[in-house]
Amino acid sequence: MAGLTLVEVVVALGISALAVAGIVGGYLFSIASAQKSALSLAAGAKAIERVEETRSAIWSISSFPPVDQLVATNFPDEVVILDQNAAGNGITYGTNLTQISQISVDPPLRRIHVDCVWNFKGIQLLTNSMETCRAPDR
Amino acid sequence: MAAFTLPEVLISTTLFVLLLGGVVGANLFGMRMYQLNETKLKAGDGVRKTLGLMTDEIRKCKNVWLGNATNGNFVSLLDAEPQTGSALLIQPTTNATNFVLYFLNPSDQSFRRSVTATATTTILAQTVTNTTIFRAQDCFGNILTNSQNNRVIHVTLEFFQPQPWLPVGNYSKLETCVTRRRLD
Repeated sequence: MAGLTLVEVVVALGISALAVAGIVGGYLFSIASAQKSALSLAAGAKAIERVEETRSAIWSISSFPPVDQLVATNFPDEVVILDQNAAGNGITYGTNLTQISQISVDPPLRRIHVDCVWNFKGIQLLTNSMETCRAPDR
Repeated sequence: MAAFTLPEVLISTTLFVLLLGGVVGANLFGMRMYQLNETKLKAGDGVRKTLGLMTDEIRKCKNVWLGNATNGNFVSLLDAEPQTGSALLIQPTTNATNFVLYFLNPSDQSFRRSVTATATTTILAQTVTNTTIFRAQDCFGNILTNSQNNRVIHVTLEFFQPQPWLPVGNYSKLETCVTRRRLD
């Protein structure tokens, strides 16, 4: 009875390797997805932090003289850390970009828009946005 | 009909063992990663719920005070002191005896919430490693030295959990900022 030929053995090994590679690839993909979700949550949280900071800016039109800290120049672009490993390296950064625009003068109302832009593994640029409106004297 | 020869059986068994080893190895690798992520997600999920509740309470409260807590007793920070501490007292109304206290219990590294209205204290998170959890800052991010009205309460919680099956422990950190909506 003839045994397996070299070609048959190589093909069988190749198929096995593909199967194992597929399983490992699946796990790696799932890890990357989990990491992306975690970074996305962190970016969202950083955008919320910036929105809350703008919430605390004084915008008082009923006082004299009026005080207005709620302007875009007071909130320049800010680099934030989204994630780092236990060794303190492998840091993923994001950048908070803040836009403040006047929606209406009477009644006075401003729109605050914060984008947290971040880079996932150097291949994908992603943005998490947060938006709110604010009236003065609050 | 001829049976398999010994070399054939040995080779096929070796191949099978290699394949099985690869599959088991991949599963073990996946299990480790799953365990790592599960711990992170569980810790994160619980604390996010907590932070969500705290955020709502700060937003709608009448007064909020920073300080430190010893055995659950709150000591407020004085003016001229940097507004950083391990405890936060929230008064929903002008009634000073009705408050919610968030504080770190350093003896067991737990983060707790105490409510006077129901006289209950609950543990919200464990293995908290940082001692300065709260800080009050202005809109530019500077730490304040007074309890001014329009301030941002910055919350930082850091966790460390040793992993029995992994060479490194699991470190995670949650941060958020909240501003009270009802300014006087």
